[in-house]
Amino acid sequence: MILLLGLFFAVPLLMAFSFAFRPFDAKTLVGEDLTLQNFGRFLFDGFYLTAFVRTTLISLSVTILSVVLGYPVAWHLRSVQSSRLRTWLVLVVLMPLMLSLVIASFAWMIILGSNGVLANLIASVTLLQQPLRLLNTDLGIVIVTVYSFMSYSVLSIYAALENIDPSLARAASIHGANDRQVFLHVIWPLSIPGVVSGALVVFALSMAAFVVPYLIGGGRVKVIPLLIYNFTIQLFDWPGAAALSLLLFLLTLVLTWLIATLGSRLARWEAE
Amino acid sequence: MRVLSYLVYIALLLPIVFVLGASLTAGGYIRFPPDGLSFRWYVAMWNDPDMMKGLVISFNIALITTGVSVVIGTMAALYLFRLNARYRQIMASLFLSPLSVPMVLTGFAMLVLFTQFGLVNVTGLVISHVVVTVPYMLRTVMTSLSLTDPFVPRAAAILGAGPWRVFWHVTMPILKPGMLAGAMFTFLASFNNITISVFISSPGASPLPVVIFNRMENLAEPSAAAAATAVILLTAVGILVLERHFSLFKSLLGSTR
Repeated sequence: MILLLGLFFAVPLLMAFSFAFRPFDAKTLVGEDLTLQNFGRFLFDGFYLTAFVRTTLISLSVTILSVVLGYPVAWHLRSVQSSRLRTWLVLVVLMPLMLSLVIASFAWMIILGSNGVLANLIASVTLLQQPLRLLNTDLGIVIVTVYSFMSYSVLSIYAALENIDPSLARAASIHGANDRQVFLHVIWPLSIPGVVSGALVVFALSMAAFVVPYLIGGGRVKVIPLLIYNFTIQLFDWPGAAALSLLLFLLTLVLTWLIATLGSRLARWEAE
Repeated sequence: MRVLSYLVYIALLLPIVFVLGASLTAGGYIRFPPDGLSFRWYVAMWNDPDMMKGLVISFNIALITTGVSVVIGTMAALYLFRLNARYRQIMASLFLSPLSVPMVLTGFAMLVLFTQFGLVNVTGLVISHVVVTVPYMLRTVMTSLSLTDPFVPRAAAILGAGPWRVFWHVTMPILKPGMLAGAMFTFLASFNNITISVFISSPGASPLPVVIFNRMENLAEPSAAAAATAVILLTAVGILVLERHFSLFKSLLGSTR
């Protein structure tokens, strides 16, 4: 196991990172010298900075939506009495994990397309003159990314809810708390760790997603993972891809740390 | 609360309905609702050498990856379980580290390594799939282990069972649910993987998701939908069979704890 991870995980990562410090060479692709100019290329260019901001904003919206939609689902799953029905519903929740991202995106392209069902539905409900454009937009990417990663938040919140001792809620209601108070003061504070860990997984996955932006965004919505893919596969600029990857990795680490810290602050604050 | 949950369930099922519908169209391009019903795109898929080859490659890779992952993941879990609590924590987070590195980065790094050693082929795909799926395997097996009394194997040994006997008759049955859940997850993750595969597949060795991915640049013909439907149906049948025999979801839900 150590050998496997060392040889096929640590070594390639280190090699990739080392490329970040080499210049791009049109002939050999990767030059010999050591340089920092790859980072300068991206850090002092408005285009890439916007892409970093856009990646972060999309990932944050995906994370928030996954939790906001995932919480009721986890709650509902827990309250379902029949174990048969629950098995089926769990199967539905896990569905996105069993579908290839390509296939899911493909399906959503049909749904979100300009003559798609959803666009027409929204147009008829909101009385918009023109059908809303979803394909090739940030909103479309958010919708499909939420679809593909929501399972993680549901599972994590479900596990947290399951772990709460039911006698705590009972004790609170015996002492005169109504359902809303029980939820707000007992269940919700105790479920925060599950919410945060689910959110962290979804956030980290969204920050690295390039398949959905590529297919749903039609390559028009520039996010960092997509640019890394383009640099690698289409431009063969591996040093550039390596530098971008390193920057994205660091940004993700900082932001996940921030979310985790905020989460535990919230949990402590709620507990008081 | 309930209404919202059911709306989410419907949204989660929506794509399957659409893929299925689009694959059955009699018309020349992707459409929902379909232009009349026919199986012509399934025939087209069957006669499409790239797609069928991709399907076979995907299946083989997923099968080998699962086999390797099960062995390595189980061994690693057993090893971790014997360490004391502090080392276990450190080693476990080390072993699970591939989960916290962005997939694009892993894919790119693999490409960098494998071009150097001429492994941009099926072997490379298997190796990289093992690296990203072994952590899941490890986690589900660890869950199975932690749910049982650690003294049971020792009790068997004290009662006179040899090490192999203890392993096959005591440890293995304990690990089975975790191994099965992990194996299913690994198989699906490998079979459906695109994020890593797209970096290290070469024209002769492209798994099915990569084949579909490459065709979608110009919105694919319905045979891609047919292939997608075939994959979905195979997956669903496989899962239902496993669920019936081993009540998989119990162990899968347990794994998040």
